[in-house]
Amino acid sequence: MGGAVVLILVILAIGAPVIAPYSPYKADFNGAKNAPSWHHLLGQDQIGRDLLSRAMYGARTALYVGSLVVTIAVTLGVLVGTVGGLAGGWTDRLIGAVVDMTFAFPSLVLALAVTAALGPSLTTLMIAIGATSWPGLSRVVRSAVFKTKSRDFVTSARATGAGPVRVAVRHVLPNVVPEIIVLASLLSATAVLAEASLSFLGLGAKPPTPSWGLGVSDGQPFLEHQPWIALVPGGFVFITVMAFNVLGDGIRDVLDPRLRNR
Amino acid sequence: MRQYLAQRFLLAIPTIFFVTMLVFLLTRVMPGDPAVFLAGTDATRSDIASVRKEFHLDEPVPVQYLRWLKDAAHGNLGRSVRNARLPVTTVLKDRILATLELGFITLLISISISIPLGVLAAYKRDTFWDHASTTLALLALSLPSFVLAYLLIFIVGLHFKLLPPAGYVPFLQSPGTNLKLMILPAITLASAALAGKTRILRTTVLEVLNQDYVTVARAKGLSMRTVLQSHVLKNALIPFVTVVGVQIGSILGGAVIVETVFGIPGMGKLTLDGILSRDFPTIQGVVLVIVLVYLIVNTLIDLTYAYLDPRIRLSG
Repeated sequence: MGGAVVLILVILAIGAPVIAPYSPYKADFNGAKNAPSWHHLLGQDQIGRDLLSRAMYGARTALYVGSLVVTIAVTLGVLVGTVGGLAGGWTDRLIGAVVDMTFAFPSLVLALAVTAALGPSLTTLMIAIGATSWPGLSRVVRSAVFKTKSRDFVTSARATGAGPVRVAVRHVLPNVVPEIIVLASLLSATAVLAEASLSFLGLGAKPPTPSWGLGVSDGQPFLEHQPWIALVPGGFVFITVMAFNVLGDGIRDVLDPRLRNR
Repeated sequence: MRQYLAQRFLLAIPTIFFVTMLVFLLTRVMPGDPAVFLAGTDATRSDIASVRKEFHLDEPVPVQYLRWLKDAAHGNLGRSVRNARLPVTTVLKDRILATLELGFITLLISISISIPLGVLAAYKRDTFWDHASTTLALLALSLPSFVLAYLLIFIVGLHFKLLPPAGYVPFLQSPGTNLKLMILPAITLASAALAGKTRILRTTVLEVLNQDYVTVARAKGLSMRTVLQSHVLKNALIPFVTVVGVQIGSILGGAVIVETVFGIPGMGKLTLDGILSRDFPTIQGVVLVIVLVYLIVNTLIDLTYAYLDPRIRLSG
């Protein structure tokens, strides 16, 4: 079911320029701060922009960030995890120590620092979130690699002379893939949340880029009387994050009993 | 046990170096000449030059780092740029209490709610209670902290006027008001942390409940309550405690947002402001403190492991 929501979101995001009723940038000062109405299904923000359109475009931003972050994190995580898991010995321990040390740090703070160092922008945001997420991924990959490493088909592959790279790619990785998919989905949830949070703090998307986090911070002065300005983008973040979480959990549940029944 | 602790301690030291070095490098890598930033907008050339001298920015970066380390070891963390050249240690001291208090209350709330909730969900698996609490956990996990914060402010603070919406009063000044002000921020922070803990606890309790020794205990005639308390809980708590340790990091991070929204002058807000204004000494000082706190907390957690799992206590 989470997959359904994600799918809808993806369609919205990609199709936004075509479907959105209004341009997310066009201000309409006459209609500023209007409540939801038939013309503007989710109301208008403080300078009259249509909230529904901004939300849809916000989906683009969020999914753009999310997919890039996941790509970076997964690539790095898989690489490091596989190398560590297969190599074993002190290479593995060294990598493990570095991973542990990165873990020692609150990721948001590190992301903040990276964003500050490289200047607040969406790109830095993605680098920051990606950089803080890959250690977790590499750990899981590493343990999955360990589990697969000792199974018979791997031993037999090596016995028949397959080189380590071939073993890694053709035999170990395909078994690790399901776990990675689960993690990717859950990571997307975290990434969207992180993008919203960092943009909210002013360290991510810059106005007038439509971003959900930015939308919430924009709406803050109007909370008392026009709460929808802040709550619409906030609500979208919520739904998106939940969708990814449900998706990830769902995939995990599908995988688990199957593994147990073997 | 002693060997176990010693190992953890040994890992802690390189961590401190690694992290502080990383942040040091990051701050120095920022685009633009740091001296220009630090000197301010009206600075003249000579102002900038003197700032450069003052902060030793003309020296090579490794030298700067070593200098900072040496000073830090003596308790001098430099002077904050933003706050009128106040010593960073003073600024930190003012702020750390607020964040520590927030963190403590948050932990208290999240642990005290997640344990009964998690156990309940596992014990009454697949019933209404289980589904309800798992769904609740999912919702709490997905709701961004700033949205929750605003919702709480809006509903509780402004609409029903039950609690003051924002602000901070030091504890020693007025404990009652301080606590009242802390409730909403703590709830906000606790909700995401709660979610994670409840889920993990549920999973681990389920695993433990399937174990043979639980069946034996029940067969012996022990009431479920006794079984839960004496056998299940201690074992299930081990991964739980791990999660608590990991969550300390995210609580500290989440504190940034909560402190900003609720206007609490704590370390989180200090970090944010410091980063936004390129206040290196403050940033470095904050990072050092955060790492230290994190390490202390994790050592405590390791000690808790030893208490919970006699195998660790008796082996190392």
